[in-house]
Amino acid sequence: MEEKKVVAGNEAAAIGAYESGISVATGYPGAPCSQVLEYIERYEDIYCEWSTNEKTAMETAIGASFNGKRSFVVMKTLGLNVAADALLQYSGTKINGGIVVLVADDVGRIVGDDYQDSRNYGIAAQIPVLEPADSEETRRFIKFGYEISEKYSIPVILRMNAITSKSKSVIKVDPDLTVTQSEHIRYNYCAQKMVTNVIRFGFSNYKEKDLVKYWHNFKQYWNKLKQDCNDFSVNTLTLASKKIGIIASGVSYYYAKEVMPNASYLKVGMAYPLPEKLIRQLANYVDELYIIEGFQPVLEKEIKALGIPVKGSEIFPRFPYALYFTSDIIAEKILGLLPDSAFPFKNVIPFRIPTNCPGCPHLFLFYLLHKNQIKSSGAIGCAGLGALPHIGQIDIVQCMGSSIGIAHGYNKAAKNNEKFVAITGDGEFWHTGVNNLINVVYNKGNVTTIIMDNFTVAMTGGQGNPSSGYGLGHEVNRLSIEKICEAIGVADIQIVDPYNLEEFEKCVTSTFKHDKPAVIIARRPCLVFSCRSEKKTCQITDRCKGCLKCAKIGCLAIELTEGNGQTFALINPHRCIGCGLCQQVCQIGAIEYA
Amino acid sequence: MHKNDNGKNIILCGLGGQGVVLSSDILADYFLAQGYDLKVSDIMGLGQRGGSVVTHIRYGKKILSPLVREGTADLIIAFEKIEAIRWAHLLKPDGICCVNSYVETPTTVTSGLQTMIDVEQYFNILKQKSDVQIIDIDKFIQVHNLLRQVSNIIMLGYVSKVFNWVPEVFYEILAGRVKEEYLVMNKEAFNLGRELALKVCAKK
Repeated sequence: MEEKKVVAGNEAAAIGAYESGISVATGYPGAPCSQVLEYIERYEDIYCEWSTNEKTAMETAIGASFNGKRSFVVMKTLGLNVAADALLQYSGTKINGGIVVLVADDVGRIVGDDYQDSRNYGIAAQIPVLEPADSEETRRFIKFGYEISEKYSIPVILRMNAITSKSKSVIKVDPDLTVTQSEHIRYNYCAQKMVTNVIRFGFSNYKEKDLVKYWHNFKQYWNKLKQDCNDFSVNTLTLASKKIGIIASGVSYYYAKEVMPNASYLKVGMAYPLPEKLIRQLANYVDELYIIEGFQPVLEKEIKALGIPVKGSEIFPRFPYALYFTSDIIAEKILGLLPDSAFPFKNVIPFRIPTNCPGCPHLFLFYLLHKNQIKSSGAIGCAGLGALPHIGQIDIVQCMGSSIGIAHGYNKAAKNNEKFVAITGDGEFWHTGVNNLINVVYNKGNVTTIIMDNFTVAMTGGQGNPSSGYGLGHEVNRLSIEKICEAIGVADIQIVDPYNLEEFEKCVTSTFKHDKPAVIIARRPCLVFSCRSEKKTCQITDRCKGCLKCAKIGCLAIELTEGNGQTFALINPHRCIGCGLCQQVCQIGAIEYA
Repeated sequence: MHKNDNGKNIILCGLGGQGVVLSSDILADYFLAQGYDLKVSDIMGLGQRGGSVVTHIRYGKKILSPLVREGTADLIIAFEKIEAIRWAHLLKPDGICCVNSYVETPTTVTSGLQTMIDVEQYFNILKQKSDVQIIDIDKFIQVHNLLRQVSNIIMLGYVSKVFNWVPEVFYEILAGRVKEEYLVMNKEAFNLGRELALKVCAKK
């Protein structure tokens, strides 16, 4: 019996993948799509893993696909940069089991801080990109994705975003449905990429007798896909008003339809390749044609390249180069309508900057870097929050695993003994950081690496990593950070509790002066994803002189209050967890346990 | 679906850890049970604690956009006072704004990056065009000897009375959404919220 359920796009994706008969699901956590794999883990027969990074996830899925099984890979757009080599090579290769790559863009920079548009990968690698508008479409498009992946022998990108991943809408599910896992083997001999870097094994022409069975006529498949997509049910053309025609992809379609219900629409469920015939049909039918697409003007350029005049970025300026559409923006720019609201002010409220939790071990690190004026390249997870202006202590934060390499380069280039330390979380260390550490030792670098080991990938919701001791859906091995550092050849490895500020400081300041690589493992479990047993809180006593040193550590529990014309710090007992950092910072001992 | 309710736009807002998402899930279950189409969008940035969290809930016969347009929200439920003002531009003229009077200073103010606004002044402006109902939930919790964790459920109970939503359906939903050992307290909180709304309405 089918029943109605309200599910987020992330859950609908898991349902769609299950219903497609996948055997293997891999991925790396990243907002907003981290939950997809956690939902898939509920299905017993699917092998599921958090891989060490997006590239290993992609390659694991490729292996399963070559084995004839349908495989599913999940990551955020920045993760696709890491996996791009694997994905771009797989496009143009003969495919057995279908492969769908769910990639979530942060359209509108709602969950993170990047401007990347994964559709560009579709264009770069000639990979079809499907873009669902809500939960039901997410589930349906994934099933469709597997069909075309196998039919046209091609990997498929399913592009989500922060809204489609997190928005919940109604879908019909059959709780008793069981699905047989799909098996599709077309090729059982060497499948090498045959498009951009043609493998000819020294032969002069791929058509030679001994080579022809290896040849994958990618172009023929791609041209057929370009033709057929005009008839795909994911692309829908609705001819209504002759005045305004709108081409829209993903959830942008709903934003437009909300304000212009009577316009003519081409809803492109497949954003790449574009259904050229349908676009021309709509362009010929209407007086004015608009393109509404979240983020960069990607489809707009494709459509203009077909010689079809379409209005896009000239009326929807992308500043600096991306846009998150809303119904309000569309109503204002196309119809000239402004909202009538009960309250006329917007953006008057001070921003709530993302902060570490009160008691987070990372706060101890930020404080001691500040105190000793040590420069650093930082991590991208919770340990990177120290770069934000409320703390402002980390000098550069780039991508996952980059901090050690950046510190290495900075130090190699430095004169006058100037030096960076590198900060990395445990998740990031395994992700790609360890490669940089190998490089540092190999090339006789001098980086001190501080690994903030909290046993989890915290910022994305507490997923496992190789030293966490847990993974996803099956038993895993627990790897040792110190042993791998030792094996790489780091001579100076120290393990310290970051709450012990004095010892932690000693570790950092002593190794910092070395001219060889050192690793400090500051180890304490994440407060959110490990249980806290004791409940104590700090309070500021009347000995406080109002120096506000404690307010500068970036603790969310420390608030400011006015009294007698002076500003005082106050500890919010609902937030404080009693880590005692403020007590160690206060030089006159004015903070005590309550 | 109810004859006299074709649907509404609701904004639920507060801070990370205040139960905004759980509350929106409960409301979503309710409107689904009433036979409506609906879309719910949880919008939260990064950071584990203390960040702004807002949820857009739209229910009706057929819902297209998952986001509430400016000036079209029928109701704002705010678990923190400053957050109510952050999203107040979404409220339609004559809309209802139910606010927990609890205030938490934004981190940018604590660290001296931004200056605090005069919240009361903004509420005075909002009151001119809408029905603002401010509830001191912390005091209410003290009086009734409840846990702070059920603040959101008190607010939901309050709103359910204002809009005449069916309490029995909520009891069932709570049973499915809340851990068994907390179910009794959640139901109590929900009912106390309803009683409070009754008192406030009687005063008016």
